[in-house]
Amino acid sequence: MGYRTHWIHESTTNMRSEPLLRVENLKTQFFTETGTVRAVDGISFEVYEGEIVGLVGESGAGKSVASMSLLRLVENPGEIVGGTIEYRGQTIFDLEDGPDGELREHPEMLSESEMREQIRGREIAVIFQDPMESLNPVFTVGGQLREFIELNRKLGSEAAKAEAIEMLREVGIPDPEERYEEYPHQFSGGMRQRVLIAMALACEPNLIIADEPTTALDVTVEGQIIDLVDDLQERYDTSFLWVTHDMGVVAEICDRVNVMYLGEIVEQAPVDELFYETKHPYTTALLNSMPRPDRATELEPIEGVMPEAINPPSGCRFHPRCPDAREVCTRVHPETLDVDRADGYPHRAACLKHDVFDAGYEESPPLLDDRGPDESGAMTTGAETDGGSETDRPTSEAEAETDRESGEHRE
Amino acid sequence: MSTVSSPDEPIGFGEMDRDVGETLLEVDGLTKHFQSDSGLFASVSLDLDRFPPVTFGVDRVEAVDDVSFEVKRGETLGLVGESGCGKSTLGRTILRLLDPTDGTIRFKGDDLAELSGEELRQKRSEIQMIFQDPQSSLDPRMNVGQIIEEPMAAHDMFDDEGREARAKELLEKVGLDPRHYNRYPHAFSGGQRQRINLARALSVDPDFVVCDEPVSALDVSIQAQVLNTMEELQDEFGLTYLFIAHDLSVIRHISDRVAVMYLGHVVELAETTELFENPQHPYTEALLESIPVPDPRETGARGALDGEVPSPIDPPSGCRFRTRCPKLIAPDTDEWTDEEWVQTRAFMRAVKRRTFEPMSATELEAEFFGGRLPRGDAGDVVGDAIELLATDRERTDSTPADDDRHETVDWEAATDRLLTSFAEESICARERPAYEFEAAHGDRERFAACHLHRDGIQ
Amino acid sequence: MATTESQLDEQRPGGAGDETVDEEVEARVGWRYTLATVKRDTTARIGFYIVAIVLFIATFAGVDSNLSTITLGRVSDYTAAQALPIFDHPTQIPPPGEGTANQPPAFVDGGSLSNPLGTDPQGRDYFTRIVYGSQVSVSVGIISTAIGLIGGTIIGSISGYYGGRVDDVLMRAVETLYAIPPLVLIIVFIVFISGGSPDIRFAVVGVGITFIPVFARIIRSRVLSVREMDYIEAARAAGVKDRTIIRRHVIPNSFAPVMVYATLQIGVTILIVAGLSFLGYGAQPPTPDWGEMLRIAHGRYMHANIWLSIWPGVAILVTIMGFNLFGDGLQDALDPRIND
Repeated sequence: MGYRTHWIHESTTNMRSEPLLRVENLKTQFFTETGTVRAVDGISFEVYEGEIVGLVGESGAGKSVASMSLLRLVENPGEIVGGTIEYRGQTIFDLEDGPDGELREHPEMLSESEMREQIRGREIAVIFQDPMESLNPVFTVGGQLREFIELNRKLGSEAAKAEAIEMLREVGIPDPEERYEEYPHQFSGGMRQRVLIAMALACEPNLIIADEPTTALDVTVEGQIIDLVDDLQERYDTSFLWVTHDMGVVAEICDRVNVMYLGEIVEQAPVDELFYETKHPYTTALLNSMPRPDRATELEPIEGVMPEAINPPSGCRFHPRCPDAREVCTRVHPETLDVDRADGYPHRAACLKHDVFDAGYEESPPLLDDRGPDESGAMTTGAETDGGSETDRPTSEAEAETDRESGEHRE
Repeated sequence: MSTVSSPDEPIGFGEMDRDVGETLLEVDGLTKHFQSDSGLFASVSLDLDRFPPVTFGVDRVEAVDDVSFEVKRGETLGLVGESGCGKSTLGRTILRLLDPTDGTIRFKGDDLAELSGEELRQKRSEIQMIFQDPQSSLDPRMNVGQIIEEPMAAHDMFDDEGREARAKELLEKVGLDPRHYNRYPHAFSGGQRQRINLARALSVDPDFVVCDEPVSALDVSIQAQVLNTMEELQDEFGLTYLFIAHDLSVIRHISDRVAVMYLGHVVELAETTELFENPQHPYTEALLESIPVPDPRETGARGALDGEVPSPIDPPSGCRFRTRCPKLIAPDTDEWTDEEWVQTRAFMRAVKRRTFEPMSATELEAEFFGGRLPRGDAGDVVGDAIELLATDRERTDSTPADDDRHETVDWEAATDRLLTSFAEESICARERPAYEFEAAHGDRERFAACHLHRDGIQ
Repeated sequence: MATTESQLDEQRPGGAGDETVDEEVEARVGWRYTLATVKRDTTARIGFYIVAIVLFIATFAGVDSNLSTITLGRVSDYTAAQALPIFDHPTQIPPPGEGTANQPPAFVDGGSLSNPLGTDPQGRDYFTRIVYGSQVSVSVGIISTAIGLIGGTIIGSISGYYGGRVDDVLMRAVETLYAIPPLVLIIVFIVFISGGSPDIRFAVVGVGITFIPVFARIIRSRVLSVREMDYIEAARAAGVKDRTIIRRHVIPNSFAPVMVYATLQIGVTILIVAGLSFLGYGAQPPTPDWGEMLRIAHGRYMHANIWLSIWPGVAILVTIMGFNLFGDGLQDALDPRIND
């Protein structure tokens, strides 16, 4: 119960220290028959020691591609085409200008074998979403864990087995000596996920990338896993990059959050800031469109649907769906800039209505509401369809005005 | 814009009454068991560790067990539970996509469980279903128009032109463009496909729609759109919904009343506000506590429930939640203080799940009982169990003591002793609970399957 | 997520009230689309063309070898109209005795362009015989595969959809059939049915029956997975009759792997029928059939005139290869969408 206070002290010291992971202007694209998909189009963020950073967005936003890019696990036809990824001073990815003017891999970049042997699974580990897919069904759980430890920590097989059993105990699997000999199908979903967490932690990584690890689990099991991760994080001081679409989990577990939309980070802030001092209309809209378990709500859906990353909208990518959009938003593409500061961390947003952009937002006329159809393909004109639902979308300028300043999370 | 598909029978459109009316569906004692094996040798099982090695008899999965509730016309009954609780099976059984093992399904006066063949097929135009997966719920080889018209054709409604006109009307009603009539499902997004599902279900103007997790596979913002559309359609067509979901937030938003299921039983049923504000079943409470709330100022321990869901093949007797219930009632074979029972209960479960490292007898006593065992017979049983588990217990044979502590510890015997003496003696194991009483919110009676409500105790 | 295509559509102005025409949609299902996808792959395209050529020849073989020794006014009689030799095969193609026996092909000493591939022991132009032989082989291949396909589809879809007892009984019967070595089964079948006078017709039916089990199993396994799809349940929930469900939903969605297998199977059938003819159980002389031609060539003339063996062999090889390449291409074209 209560607000996270323990990390504030760490954070102020961490702010002065170097980040564990630094990502700058990362771009990953997929070259397909139908066109180039700009899945990740210039995102920047940091992860410091001992914190849990959220990467949240809906499907198609590019968050999974982004997390895979961090370990250079993107495969054909995908490719990281730009940006910098640094981990503890080592260069995971960077480009430089070659002699002929074209871009080529930076010589300081870690080689593939270095990535494989030093980074993946050792310094940076991954937990995937579907535990059923990630464990080999024909080998015992203990065997898989032990093998992993043997390879990565260079222990003999007896020592590795003992270590594996310890890890199973750590993650809360009862009677680990027995369960060591069992096969994945004998474990429930929650248990399997604990095993994956054990595998991730076994090599004492500094950073764990968790790609929607609780999405496929029942809510009571999700609760157990969240508690476990909280606990382990405090004990081992491991950092997490937590990829999810569930804002509830974000509120529960993250210290800082990055909100992604169509390949870009549109808002970045400490978690309390994000929910209570929201600075981007997408985040606001997302929060307003979610039903809540603790009170009855009116759902305000976001109009339209996230377009494909092959042909993103001009200017601000969210403008076709943004209730606060102005004419200037169709022309000027907002970068993710600092718009505030809280708890020692910057609060960044990619929205032209903030002064720092100086884009003439105030003077620019609002976009008329028939700029585009809603998700269903039918036109949304001033008149609503019959039925008179209570959840009216802003259909007039006046209403759009009053909604504009509502960056606040609804009380 | 032409609205009416058939000039003589403008079926379904324009009914605006959403007043909750008479009982539309009444389910009584509905049971659905599955055989867990099939084939020629299903009833034979071979186990070389047992004697005799060959046994006969089929394992039964008790997916839904003796469920009763009613739904009134115009309301939305939410059915919520985690995976394996039987909610999907219940939905399908009501629709007679599965044959019930027992019980009745009274719909507008007829017992659906009794119908078969052509009679049943014709009744289907009155109850429809919306499926969860937008990918697999539409035949990829049919275009959207054909998909929507199929139910109408199956019931000989209208002629070709009439069906086409109505299909286009429905496309519009669910918020799609009628000019997309010729498109194939792959051209639509997930949310749009669910709307097509809606249109198809509504084409025969049903009274009752079972919605099996219709928005679970959709993104949050699309979820909201589709939910709003479903609410609008409910008003316009005068529909009654049985809304099945695992997401409590969604259930809270859309339901008038909510039923919570666990391992084939309905454990609680109440009006929405009552259920969420005043839950009366430990499982519901645990469920509500577990949900991550999108508010960073309301964080806290979320793992409210330990252990795992038992297998539906051999479910616990009496109350099926008792193996994990934090409020398991003490057996009345002994006298207990509250503290003694809480400690014993925790100890019993820790032994069953083997969540601790074996230790000496004194250590065990200290760890679980603060040094003081319960009095009386109960204390004896606990003592026995500790005996079986203690690492420093006396060895009856003369072999030198093992270094491997685990071989001296008899988890199974200890678990058995504790469970038979305590868990199985509790009223929770002996009787299946079912209580109706007044609600704190709203004016309808509510239901909770928990013995904590016996004699009005709570 | 919506494709770009539908999004562009959505951006077109115009409300629902316009009396606009329904858009015409290019389906991603259907044969035209599948064939287009096949042709994108070069190897498959080659296969497709070979198959097309062979089919064309077989259908329209009214070839006039251009020579008096051949024409006799009879060749042009045997055109597409009589192109189903099974039921009305021409007895002499071409008539014997008109040409020099055992003449080598044109590019070897002693040959002449009037008989481009040489002549057979009875002086008949070999080229014409090869061409007409295609009629027998191809139509036999297609018809027996069709028998297996149709029989197998009916049995397999009923078995897969209904399950339970029905499935058990049907599948056991099918498996029994499957357990008998095919060639033995066919030959026994032919001998019994024909009562001692084997004919290509019996061979065709016999081969077809042998293929029923394989097709039944393919369809059944596909039906088992299609049956679990929500759209089948939706159709049941909507009150659609079972047989309509099978017809409109189950079979069309199960058919893709079957088509692939059938295409490949045609090649195999041709080979089997050629083999039967080679053994004497298939086409009877003087019906030109590649297998039968091989039989004659093999018997006495292997050393005397190797060309008699080569040309039928090449014909069989090329035809089967064509069908196989095409079948592979078809599989690739259908495969990713099968998993869609």
